Amino acid sequence: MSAARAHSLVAVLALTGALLGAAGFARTNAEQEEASDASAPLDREGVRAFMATYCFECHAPPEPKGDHDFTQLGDPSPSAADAATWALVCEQLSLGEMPPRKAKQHPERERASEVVAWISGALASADAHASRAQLRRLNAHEYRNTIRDLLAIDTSIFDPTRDFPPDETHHGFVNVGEALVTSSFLLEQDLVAASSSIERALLAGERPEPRSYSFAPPFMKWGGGLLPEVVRMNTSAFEEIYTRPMGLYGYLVPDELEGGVPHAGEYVMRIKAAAIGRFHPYAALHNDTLEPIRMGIAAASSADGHLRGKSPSEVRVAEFELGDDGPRVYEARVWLEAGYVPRVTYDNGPSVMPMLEFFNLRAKHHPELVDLYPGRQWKDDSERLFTEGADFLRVYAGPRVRVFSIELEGPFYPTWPPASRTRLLGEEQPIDLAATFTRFADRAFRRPLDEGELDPILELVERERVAGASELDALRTGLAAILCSPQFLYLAATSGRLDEHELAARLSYFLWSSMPDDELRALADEGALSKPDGLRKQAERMLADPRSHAFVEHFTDGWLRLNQIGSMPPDPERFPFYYRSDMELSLAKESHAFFGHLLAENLDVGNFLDSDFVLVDSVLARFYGVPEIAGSAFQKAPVPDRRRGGLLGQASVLTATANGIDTSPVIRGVWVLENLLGTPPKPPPPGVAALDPDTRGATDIRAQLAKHRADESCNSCHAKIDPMGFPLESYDPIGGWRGNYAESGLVVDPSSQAPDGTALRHVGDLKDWLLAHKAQFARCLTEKLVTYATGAPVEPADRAEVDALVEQLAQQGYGLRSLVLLVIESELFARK
Amino acid sequence: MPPSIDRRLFLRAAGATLALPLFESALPRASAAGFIGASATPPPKRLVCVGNPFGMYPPAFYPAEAGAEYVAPALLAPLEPHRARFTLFSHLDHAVSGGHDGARAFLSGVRPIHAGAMPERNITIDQKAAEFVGAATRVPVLNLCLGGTWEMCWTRDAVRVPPIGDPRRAFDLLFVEESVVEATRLGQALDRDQSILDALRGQARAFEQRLGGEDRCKFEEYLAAVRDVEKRLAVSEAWLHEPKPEVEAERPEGGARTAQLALWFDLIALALQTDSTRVATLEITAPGATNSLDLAGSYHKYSHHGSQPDLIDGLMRIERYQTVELARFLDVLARTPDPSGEGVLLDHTMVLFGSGLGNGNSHSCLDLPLLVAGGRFKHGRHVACPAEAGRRTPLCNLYLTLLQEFGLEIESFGTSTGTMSELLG
Repeated sequence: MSAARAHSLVAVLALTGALLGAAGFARTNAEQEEASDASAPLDREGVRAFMATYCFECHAPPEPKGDHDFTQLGDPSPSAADAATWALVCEQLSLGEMPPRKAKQHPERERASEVVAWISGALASADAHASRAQLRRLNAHEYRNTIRDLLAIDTSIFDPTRDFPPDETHHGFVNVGEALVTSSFLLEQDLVAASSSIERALLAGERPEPRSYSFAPPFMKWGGGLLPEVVRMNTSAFEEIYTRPMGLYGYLVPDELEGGVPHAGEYVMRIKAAAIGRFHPYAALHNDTLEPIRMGIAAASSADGHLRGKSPSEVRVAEFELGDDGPRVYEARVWLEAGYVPRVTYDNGPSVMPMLEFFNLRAKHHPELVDLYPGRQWKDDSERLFTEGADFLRVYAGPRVRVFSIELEGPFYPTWPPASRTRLLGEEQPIDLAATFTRFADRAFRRPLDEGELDPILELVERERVAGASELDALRTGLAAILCSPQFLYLAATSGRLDEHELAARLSYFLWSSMPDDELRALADEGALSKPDGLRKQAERMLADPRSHAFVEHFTDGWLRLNQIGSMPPDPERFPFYYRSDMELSLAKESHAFFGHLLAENLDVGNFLDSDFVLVDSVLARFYGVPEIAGSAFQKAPVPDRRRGGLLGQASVLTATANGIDTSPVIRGVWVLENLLGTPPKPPPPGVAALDPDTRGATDIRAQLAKHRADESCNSCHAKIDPMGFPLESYDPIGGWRGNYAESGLVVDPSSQAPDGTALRHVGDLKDWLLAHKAQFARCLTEKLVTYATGAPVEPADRAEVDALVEQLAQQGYGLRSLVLLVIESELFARK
Repeated sequence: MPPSIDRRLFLRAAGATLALPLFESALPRASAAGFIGASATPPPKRLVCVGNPFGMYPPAFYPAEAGAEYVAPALLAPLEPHRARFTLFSHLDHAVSGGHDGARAFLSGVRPIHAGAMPERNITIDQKAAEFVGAATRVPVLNLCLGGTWEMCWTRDAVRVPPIGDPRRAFDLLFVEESVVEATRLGQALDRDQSILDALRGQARAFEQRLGGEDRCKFEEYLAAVRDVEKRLAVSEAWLHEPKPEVEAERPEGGARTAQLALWFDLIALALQTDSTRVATLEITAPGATNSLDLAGSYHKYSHHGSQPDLIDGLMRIERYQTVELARFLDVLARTPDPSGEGVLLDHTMVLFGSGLGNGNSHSCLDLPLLVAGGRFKHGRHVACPAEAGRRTPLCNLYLTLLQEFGLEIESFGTSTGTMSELLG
């Protein structure tokens, strides 16, 4: 900071005051009006006078509101300790939240905008932010994707990061350098992951001969449980699946494939199956007859020791919609890892405990079966269950998947040696170790190597060879060492402008969460990325590639905090639909689909605030009351009414901002401020008494919060938080619409008043209010995108550049794709 | 005398899923086989920290009276037989806010988001103690969890320690000898990893050349990790050829999903008794034994009771289950001979029980439920610390006292301002 900048505003004020012949803050109204005259050109004194007029009423000694004493602020500059406070001033002014309505004087909006622009400019000085992004390591999903692309292996099942400690997040984002720590726990796992990845790519040894397996019913040879046993009493022609995969039910396991397939590779699986009973009479099963029955293949590792039910290693590798036209053979080509067993499932089946529910159904629909054996003495309960169960299943009319045969053939490889091995070792024989390591490291480090950069690894391999290690073992050790090197694990950038290779890596990790592909790398080698349109063309190409789903998924999850989903499961008693339909699996996907749609179609980012359409699968369609949507794919449909549309109508957001048990207008209000308006409130001061929720019904949350707000230190923040949260009280902890609180029966009052005085009667009004502040939202979204794109949070010094982006976005019509491309072509993206 | 465990009590607590209790006949010969360095030196100290994420229902945990003559409220009743062996504290906390995030300061005094400002970041008491133990035991610290983690333990690098949730894994680590083939493979892998780490130092030197000043600071993490892993490999190598203690306990059946509190406590007792570790932690995030507690909802649901009586009742059952099992754990420690041959385990083991939340319903991080049992402390009282602002005692004072008793020669820990003289008699 230059000496000139070190002048404090207080000194300026004293000077101005002296010139005006008045001491300190004591000025006449006439002087204040003169000083803040909207026509005067703006300079430091002008801003100071503006603040004296409109802010010092509250933010000055002796008791500055919100603990913000603006009389003590130093000049705005990027490195000043006060930079964050200045940024806050900008936000509150541009949002129109300050001065508050009850203040004596209010500035013209235009003048306020000029002041914001001046402060932003001062916060971003010339070269202050040569290196805003800290060194950052790959996070777990980037590691996994990079391994996939670097080694050319299938990682749909194989997960080298399975035992990595979870990555730390920064404001929801899992790719911010300063939050991502390298610990000894991680490095230990890196050593393991490197070896297993290399092993997986080498597939050392001879080509395994393909084998054919043919399984006939009964597939569950042993320990199949009651249900298969009962079925077997009726027929040996097929076996059936009655429920969706849940707990210990709903998996048809080919038991003869004990220990799983012997080798990793591609397998062809043929299942002869039929959908039975889709149009059934049993309302109690709550099963949708609208959509076709879906059969899935869920692979799981036999090492889990437990294939009858949900398994930690489980991966769904294929799904079919079954026709209603009788048995057919369904075929899928799937990649299986060694030791994995493919199991057949009924993915949208009823969610019931079969035998328990069956006896309820029997009483209701088949009363003639209830007392078939009067007076019979049963040997034990299971004899009775078997006998009566078999009787019942003979007449059972519910939906199920009937499986007649399962065939499995493999492993197949498009080439041998497999492409992953050739890619590692090259074609020529004998293997030139040094050349192999250099070629590999050049790709693993995402740039040409420095002179001698690999020497420590080449020496290591030499020592291993001298000590008697085989060529293959030495190779393994060297390649693993490359994958544990910081050059691989970190995305490094020298300060100032990124060079071509750094730029390529930033782009590919932004859009793909993975390393640059060959085309992007070649362009970086040629120096073509920093040419006009160089980045843009690549970005367009990469957005069209399916790998860009990584961006949609991880950005959306970080921005909207969707990674919270699942950590606090909703109450099963109160929300049976959530469990009956596996709603959790659909939640985040809706937001991904919505974001992906805006991105693909370049739709207005205002759609995030409110939209006249939703993207839903059959589960959410039923939940929202959207008619005629079937299947697990997300489809566009008109909103049923204003309760849905935009992010605030999405069950994902509403579930992530609740705790599964109850809701809080504070938590949801803070979420709106942080993630839609970009004005996170300060955390509560330590020692403040927390609300002790009381849901018995004497008071509602509104009354409890009103008491809380009576305390001025609480009110300064809650006056902004609570009004954004109250309209969202109309949604229960999983995002269902409600008029009453379930626990207390009290009526929900969703009304509130925005900080600028606008009355908000319900969530529709809240959305309108937010839309009226679209520019503010666009700036928040831009900041979030810049954070994710560069792996570093936006600092006050970046404000002016962000403002410029938002302005360009407005000119280009607010399209989401436009925004992403603007960010990619921005200075913030091009500099460290 | 060999310890004898009430088998019926165990089976009842563990539920029917467990075939065999672990501690049923854990044996004296284990102590002889397992104790490394049994000599004239004073017996080593041990530390066990047990915590849950939602607190203890305050009206049923804190007695109205301070001192030795307190009347035990419902949640403390199961511990009555041990009254003389523990001290209860009230009005202790870390003066932090932040709800569940504040609760992560439980064993350190420092919230993760504030760790950067502290010289030892947010290192927790168990890790600090484990550093002191060093390579003296096979497992420097045994971090366990029942039902997942709420992030109770942190290192001096502000990294959270991943606990073990599968009892089989913990049992294998402590007591199951690798086969000769496996041991050879492990030995080779250790050698190889050590050579790779050597090369990585070289790689790191080259990499550092490319970094600016700020990034070099950040990169310290990697260098520290290389050093730490090297140390850990050296410890593993040293212990690779030491036989694991023989215990006549059965390997637990079932994975994380069927684990119960009693099983974890037994594993900890076995680990202490065989001197396989001297520091252990246990995070309790699932109620455990839900069947026997006859509860329909989750632990989390009951913690958000909203003052509804039926939910409070459920919460009380979960919390009482914890103090019942804690009491049983103290029973075991109080009648199991210490591996040093002097007295029983509880004489040398400090057991801390508590939570990072003072009240799960309000998410307050103040007035944490806390008790300390065992060790050479003066026990038997309810120590009511000053409740008024300005006169409050930092909880880290208690932690400093525990660590000093453990043997560390330190004058401060976390946010401590002194020691807890009330324990020292």
